[in-house]
Amino acid sequence: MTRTTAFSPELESVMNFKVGPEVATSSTNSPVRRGNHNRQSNWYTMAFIKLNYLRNLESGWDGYRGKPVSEQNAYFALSMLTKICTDDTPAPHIIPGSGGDLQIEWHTTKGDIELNIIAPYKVNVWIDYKDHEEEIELTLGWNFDSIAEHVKKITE
Amino acid sequence: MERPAYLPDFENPPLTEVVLGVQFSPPNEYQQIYAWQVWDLYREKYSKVQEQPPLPPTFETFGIPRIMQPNIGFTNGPLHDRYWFLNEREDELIQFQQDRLLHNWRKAGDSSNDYPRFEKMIKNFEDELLKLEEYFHRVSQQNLNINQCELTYVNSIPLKQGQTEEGSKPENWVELLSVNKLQFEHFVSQYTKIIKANDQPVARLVCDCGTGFDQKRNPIIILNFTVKGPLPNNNGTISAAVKFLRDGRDTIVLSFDEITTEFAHKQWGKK
Repeated sequence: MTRTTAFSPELESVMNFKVGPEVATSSTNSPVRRGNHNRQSNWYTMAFIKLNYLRNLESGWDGYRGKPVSEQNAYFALSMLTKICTDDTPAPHIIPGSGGDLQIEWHTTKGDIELNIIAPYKVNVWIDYKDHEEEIELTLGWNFDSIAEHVKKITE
Repeated sequence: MERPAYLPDFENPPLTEVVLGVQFSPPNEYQQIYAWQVWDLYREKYSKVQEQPPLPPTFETFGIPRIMQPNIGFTNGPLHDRYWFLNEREDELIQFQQDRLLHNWRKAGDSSNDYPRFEKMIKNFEDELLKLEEYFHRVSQQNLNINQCELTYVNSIPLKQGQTEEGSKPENWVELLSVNKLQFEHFVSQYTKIIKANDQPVARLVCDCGTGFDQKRNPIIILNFTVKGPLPNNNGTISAAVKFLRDGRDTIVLSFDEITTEFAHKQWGKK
């Protein structure tokens, strides 16, 4: 059998307990089945509270025509952070942009890292290590492997 | 487009539901009061309507492996309902909310309705997306900027009704259930796989497998597959979404074939 699909699956995780995928089947009245998240990291709780607040900003919050952080950007930010942060990562600063976008930042004595979420899957990254002259600038979509490593170096 | 010859094919698969879906950026000028105009796009065939709670936005990101997704939901801002537009037999429905369009086929009534097959479903779904894009273009001069796709196959394998003794044993249907030598009372499991193209993650496969009961309390195996992910290069077009869903179908059918046993294939009439 010749396989021509563009996809090649690689085993990611196996769980022996039930966490349903976010599927929109018609048999689930509750559209989303999710597992209980018994242990939430500090950064996660802080980020969630801040994002919830930013979702609730009034239009014109910046004295001009500033919009609240968009629902999709807020959800994307949390999804991205879960792929960047470990349980020990300090909570980031989260700053709203005027167009519904947002910026996620860590600043330490080792360096600075800023992730500007323009839209879901469109993230501009800026990294500046104190002991390096060159700054790093990237645009990322959905793979945050490399950023996780930088966040670890700057915040540990 | 015809079904690819390299895919395993079953005369009588245990499918009970298939869902094709996309998520997109909410159009700027759209308000919930216009939902009836969207229903009008599909009303000729989908004449019934139901209101449902909205689905929250979902995104597939990759990086540090995490077993569980956080259980959260933002509560602020206006909520937009999700609408089901159902056909007369209620075996097909279109789900619409301000940032989602999905098309479900499901077993209904006495379950004698045949699965229309993916090729027909994807063609219909493409037409439905084109109609929605045309509508959004009229309302807000925007294309349908799709940022996420998903495809789900729900299978239900009966273990009692019409089964031989061999067919009543879960381990004879699904390889994962070979742990039944432990004589479990109930079994639930999930595995995920990162789907890669050119060595980069492009989507995620989620497989739920477990034992349960149907509506008549007869024991069954539940075997669900979902492929979900972003569109490559942020190319949020309908044709890119259709390609993603076609590739997703291949992944699901091959995974289904891989995880189920030869005994099962024989019962389902593998060609």
